[in-house]
Order: sequence, then structure tokens, then C-alpha cells
Amino acid sequence: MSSVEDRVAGLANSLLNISDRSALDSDVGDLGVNSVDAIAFLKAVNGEFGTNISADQAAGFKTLRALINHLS
Amino acid sequence: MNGSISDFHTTGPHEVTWMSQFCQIRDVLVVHVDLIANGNCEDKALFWLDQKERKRLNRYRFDRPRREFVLSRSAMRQILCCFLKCRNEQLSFETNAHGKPIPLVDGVLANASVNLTHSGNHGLVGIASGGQLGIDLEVPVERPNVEGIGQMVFTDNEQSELARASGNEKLNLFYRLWTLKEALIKALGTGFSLNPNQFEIPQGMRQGASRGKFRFPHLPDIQWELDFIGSSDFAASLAHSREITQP
Repeated sequence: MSSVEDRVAGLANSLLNISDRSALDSDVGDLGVNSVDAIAFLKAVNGEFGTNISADQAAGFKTLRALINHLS
Repeated sequence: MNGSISDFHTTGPHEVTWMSQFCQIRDVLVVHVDLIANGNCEDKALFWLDQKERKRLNRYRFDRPRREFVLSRSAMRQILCCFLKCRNEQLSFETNAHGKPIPLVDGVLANASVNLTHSGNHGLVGIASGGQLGIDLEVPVERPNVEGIGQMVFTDNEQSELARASGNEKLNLFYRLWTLKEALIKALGTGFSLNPNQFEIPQGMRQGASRGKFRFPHLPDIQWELDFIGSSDFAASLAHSREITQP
């Protein structure tokens, strides 16, 4: 079983074209992610982890690491 | 510090190659920013940024968002300087809790509402005297799951209408709804901390009208003017209220 970080990183790579693991700790605003892509990514995260994280909840995650910590 | 659109017309940035007037909607001026990679423009644009913005620029990890930031932020500065008749070095920005830039001249709140958006090779800057303004642009991209994305941010009615649409009509409706909603949350200054599924785009605009009026359910006293200003290249929307609200 892959770790939560591996699974989130995999989705970030395939959906946001972010392959560098160090980007997981960057401010999301510094990654230049388009808003539609961000919500598509969130939708995929919910599908992968069986969660129901809403757009407004996700706005509180300043980094992908914060999302990983929430999911762990 | 007061500004007006007529000020902009007489002293507009005609010499700047990466901007051009896109449209004027009532008292809101919208300027198009060309974001195609161009080293000359990017060098010129960099000159306009202050130290804080250059630090911000250096935090971007990838070339594309770096280019979007330098070209669109410098465009916003030039437009504000024309609009407010001030020098670039007099201009600074504070941000609200959700990162929306608020212009200051000599440290004093300027009488201008400004907002910018970009997607693909296109950016737009909207500016008006006072009030609150939000603008959003999206270059449509074919997506396999627009209905799934819509479930995250659209109301039941909006989702049903999207489900009934097909082909290009579905994609166009998705981006129409998206830009209208994002323009509204940007105008209000909340970003996605206000879930867009908590309010509904007026029915007429969902069905193709280019203009409408809107009130947030939790702020019924404030009326917003909504305009869909998309072109053949992109979907785009503008939201403006003359009144100031606290998000």
C-alpha cells in the first residue's frame, strides 16, 4: 500500500503536472495552479481517499503537505 | 485619491505592447494582457515591480506562473498609475485576509477597485472607481469530468442544467458558470473560503444572458452587477458592486 504522500504526489503529478516532491511543502499560491485544476484535483483526492473535503475546506490548506497531514 | 476611466483614456499605456483595452462595461474598464512568452516584455514588466513583488516573483517555482505574475502585475500597476494619476513608486498594495490586492497611493487607500485574472496566454485587468470588483478568465480546456468538478462548486439547479447539456454546449456552460462564480467570490474578497455552491447564478445568465443582477444569500442588501464578457478565445466574467462589504 502506497503512503498518503505517495498517493497525493501521484495525483499532483498526473493532474497538476507537479512532479517535484519538494513542491509539496510550497505555498499552493506559489505553484501557479489554475482554480479549475485545483478543484479537479480536490475531486480526485476525495475519490482516492473516500473523503468529502469541500472547496471551502480545501481553501484552508496552504500547502499540499497540509492536505497530506489532514488525510493521514 | 480619485480616478476615472476618462483619465485612463487620455493617458493610457498605448506604448506598452502587452496590454490593450478589451472592453468597457458601465464604469468598469477591462484591459487585456498578452501572456505569450516574450523576453522583451518581461524585462520591461519587471522594471515596474517593487521589492516586495520581486520577492513574490522569486517564490514561484515554475516559469509559466512567474511570467503570468510579472506581466499581469506590471500591467495592473501601469493601469492604476494612469487611472489614479500617480507615479509607480507611490503605489503599493495591501492584501485582505484571502490575498485580494487593495491599492494604496502614498500609503492611503486609493479610490479604485482593481482585480486581475489569467489563464493560458490571456490575462484581464478590471478597474473601476471604488466599490468592489472581481474578474475571472478561463481558457476552455476539454475535461473528461466537468460534471464531477461541478458537483464541488455548483448548486443542484446548476448541476442539473450542466448534466442536460451536451458537447460544446456543456463545456461552454461549465466555464460560463465557473467564471461567473469565481468573479463573484473574487469581488467579495473571500476566494474559495466561500464555497461557490452556496449561491446560484441568476437563471437568465445560466441560459445565456450576458448581463444580470445578483445578491449573495448571506448579504441580501448588496446588489452586484454581473457581466459575461467572454470571447472566442476564452470565457470571462465580471462582478461589480458600488458598495463595500465585509466578507
